[in-house]
Amino acid sequence: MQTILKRREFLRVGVATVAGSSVLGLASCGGANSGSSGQAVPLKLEFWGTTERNKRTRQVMTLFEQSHPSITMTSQFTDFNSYWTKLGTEISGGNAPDLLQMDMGYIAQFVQKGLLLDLTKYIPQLINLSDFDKVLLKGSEDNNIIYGVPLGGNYQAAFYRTDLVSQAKVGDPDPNMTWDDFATYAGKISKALGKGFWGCEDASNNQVMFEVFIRQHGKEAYTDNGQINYTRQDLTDWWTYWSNMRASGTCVPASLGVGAPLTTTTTPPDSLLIAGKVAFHFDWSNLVVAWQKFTPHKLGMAVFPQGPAGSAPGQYFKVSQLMSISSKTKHPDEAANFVNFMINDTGAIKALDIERGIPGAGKARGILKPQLTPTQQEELAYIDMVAKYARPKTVLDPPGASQVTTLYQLYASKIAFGQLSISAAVDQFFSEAQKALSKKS
Amino acid sequence: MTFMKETKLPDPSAWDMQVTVEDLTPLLRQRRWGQGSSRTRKQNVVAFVFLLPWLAGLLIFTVGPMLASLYYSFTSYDLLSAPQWVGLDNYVRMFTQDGRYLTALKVTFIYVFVSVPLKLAFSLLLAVLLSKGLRAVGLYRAVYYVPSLLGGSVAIAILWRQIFGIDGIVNKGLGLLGVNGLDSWISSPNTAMLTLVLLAVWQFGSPMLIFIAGLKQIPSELNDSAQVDGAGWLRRFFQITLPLLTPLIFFNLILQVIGSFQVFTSALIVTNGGPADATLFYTLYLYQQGFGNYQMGYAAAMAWVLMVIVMVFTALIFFTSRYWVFYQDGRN
Repeated sequence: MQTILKRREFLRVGVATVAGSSVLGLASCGGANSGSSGQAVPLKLEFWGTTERNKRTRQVMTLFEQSHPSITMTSQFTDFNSYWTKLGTEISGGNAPDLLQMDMGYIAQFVQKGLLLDLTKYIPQLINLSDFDKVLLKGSEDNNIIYGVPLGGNYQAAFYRTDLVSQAKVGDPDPNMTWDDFATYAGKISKALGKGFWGCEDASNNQVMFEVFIRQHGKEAYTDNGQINYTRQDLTDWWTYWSNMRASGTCVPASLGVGAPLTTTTTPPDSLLIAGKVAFHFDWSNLVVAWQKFTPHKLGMAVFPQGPAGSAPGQYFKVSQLMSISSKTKHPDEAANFVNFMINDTGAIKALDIERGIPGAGKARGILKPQLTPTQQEELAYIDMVAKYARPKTVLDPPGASQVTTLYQLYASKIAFGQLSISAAVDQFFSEAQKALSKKS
Repeated sequence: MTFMKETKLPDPSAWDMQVTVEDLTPLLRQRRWGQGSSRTRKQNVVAFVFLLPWLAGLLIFTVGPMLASLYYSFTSYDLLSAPQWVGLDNYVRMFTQDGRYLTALKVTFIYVFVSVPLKLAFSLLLAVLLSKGLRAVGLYRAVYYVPSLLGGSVAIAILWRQIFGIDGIVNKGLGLLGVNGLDSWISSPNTAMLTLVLLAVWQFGSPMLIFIAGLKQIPSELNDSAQVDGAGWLRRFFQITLPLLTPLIFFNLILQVIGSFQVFTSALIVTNGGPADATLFYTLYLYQQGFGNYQMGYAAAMAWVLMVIVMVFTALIFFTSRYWVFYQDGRN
C-alpha cells in the first residue's frame, strides 16, 4: 500500500514539477523584454480540467504577464478527482497555490477551514463585477460572502438523440412533462426501437437528478446546518420510480446502468447515448459541445421532467467553477488582479470562450455571442429557455456531502442488483449518511 | 538397482543458493568497525559514503512517512487543518461502525485466497512446460513474461474492461460457441471479481521464472532413476519435482500474498470498486477515504491494520513452512 501510493504521488509531483518549470521558462521569456525593475511577483494557479482548458488558461496567463510585467505566473492542472487529492496534500504541506479553482461542492468545507480569502474588500476596486450575472454570483456565495468569482454557469440538461426520437415517432420532448409523462414517453421509445435499445439511462444513482427531484418538492437537499433535508418517503418514491423504469424496460438494466463503471456515463465515447442504445442521457449543459463531437447525429437538449402540478421548479444554475484566492497567499492584490483579468479582459474572454460554461460578465457574453458555433448557440438557447423551470439553490453542500453521494450510489446499485429491498436500502442509507454527516472529519 | 548405486548425486552446496550466518562470520570479524589499519577504516568510510544516498532515502522516504502515518492513525486529520488527537477512535470505528470497511476486508480476503493459489498453480504449470527442451524456448519465456511487465499498468486495466465488456471479445467468442445474451462481466456483482482474479493470474511471469530456475536445479539423475524404476510422469512430479520445489513455492507464496493484499490499480481502473462494492479492495477503500474524503487519520489507521494483517499471514506461512518446505540438505 505504502509504496503504491507513494509511487503515484511521486509521479504526480514529478510530472507537475516538469510541467510547472516549463511554464516558468515561458513566463521568464515574457518578463525579460519588458525590462521592468523590482522584484518579480510569483503567482501559482491550479485548476482541474482537460488539456483544452489548460491551453486556454495558459493563453490568459501569458496575456496577463504581458500587461503586468512584474508578475510571473505558473500553473498546474489535473483531472477533477486528482485535483482534490493534490490540493489537500499541498495545503497540508503548506504549499497552497495563490489562485485555485473551486467547486460548489467543496467550498463550504474550505471556507470552514479558513483557507479562502474573503473577496468582498477587493470589489469593486480590484475586481469589477458591475455587469456580472446576479443569479450566478448569488449562487456562488457562502453565507452572503464572495469567496470566489464564478468562471461559468451551467444548467442540468437531458441530452437526447434526435434521430432515435424521430425514429420512434414520439415527437420532441415537451418541457412540461411530469415524471410519469416522461416514463410513458421514454417507454414508447424503448418499445418502438426494440430489443437492445432503451428510452433513457438509469438515473437511480444520479445525485444531481435526485436533487432536482427533491427541489421540486420545494426544499433543498440539505438543511442550513448540514443535515439531510429530504424524507425517507422522498427517497423511497425516487428509487421506486427507477425500479419501475427498469422493470418495464424503459431505462437500461442494472448491468448496463448502475453496475457499469462510471466512465460509461461520463465519457462520451464509452457511453450508451453515443452508441445509440439509449435516447436520453442526463448531464450538465456545457458538456453538450464535447458530446456532440462524438456523433454525427444531432443531440437535442431538454429540461428534466417536472413534478406534478403545483410543484416548485427544481433545476438551478450551477456555478461550474469559481476562481478563488488562498487565504495564505503573500500577494492578494496581484491575485485579485488576475481574477478580474480573467473575467473582464477582452483577450482573456476570447481565449477562454465558453469552455468553462457560460461566463457571468455581460461584456463577455456580448463578445462571445457572435463567434459561437451552432452547438454552442444551442447551449445558449437552452440556458435562456430553462430559466423558467429553475430557481436558485440556496443551501451549499456541507462537508461530507461527497460521502453521502457515494453511499447513495452504493445503495442505488444494491437495489438494482436485487441485493436489498428498497425499504431496507433506504433505512441503511439514512443511518450511514447521518453517520457520515455527523462526523467531524 | 546396481545402476542406481553408480549414479553420483551432485554436491548439494553447488546448487544451494542459501548463505548462512556461519558462512559470513569470519568476514564480519575481519571487518569490525574501528579496528584494523587506517586503510580498512578509510574503506569503511568510503563504503558509508556510497551507502548514504540509499540510507537517506530509507530514512526520509520510508521510515519518516511510516512514523508520521502511525501518529496520524491516532488523529482526526482532514489535510486542510492540523490533526487532532483522538486516541483509538479510528481503530474502533473501523470494526464497529463502518460497514464498507468490513466489506473491503471480506472482498480482499476472497481475492487473496482465490488469486494466489491459482496464480502459483498456473505459473508452475507453465514453468514445467517451458523447462522442457522446446525449440525457441527463450522466446516463449520472454513472451510469457511480458504480461507481468504490463499487467500492473493502467493501459492493461482499460484493455481488460473492454475484453470483458458486454460487446467484448469474451462475449463475442462465447457467442460463436452458441452462448448468447451474456451481460458485461465487469458490471455484474457476481462476475466482476472473477475478471480481476483472471487479471492477477495472467501476470504469472515472475513466479514462473523463479519456478523455471528451481526446476533447472533439480538433478536429472533423480528423475532418470525414478523413471527407470517405473514411476510415471505424474508420480515423478509429485514425488520428486514438487518436494524439491517447495522452497521456491514458499518464496513465491510469501511474495504473492503480500502483493495481493495490496492490489490497487486493477480495482481502481477496471471496476472502481463496483458494482455495488463487489470489488472494493482494501487499498482502494483506503485511498478513497484518505484522498477522496480527506480522512487521512482514518486512512492511516487502515494502512496500519493492513500491515498487521500482512505480517500475521507472513508469520503464519513462515511458521507452517517447517511442516511442508523441504530443503535438500536436511536443514529445516
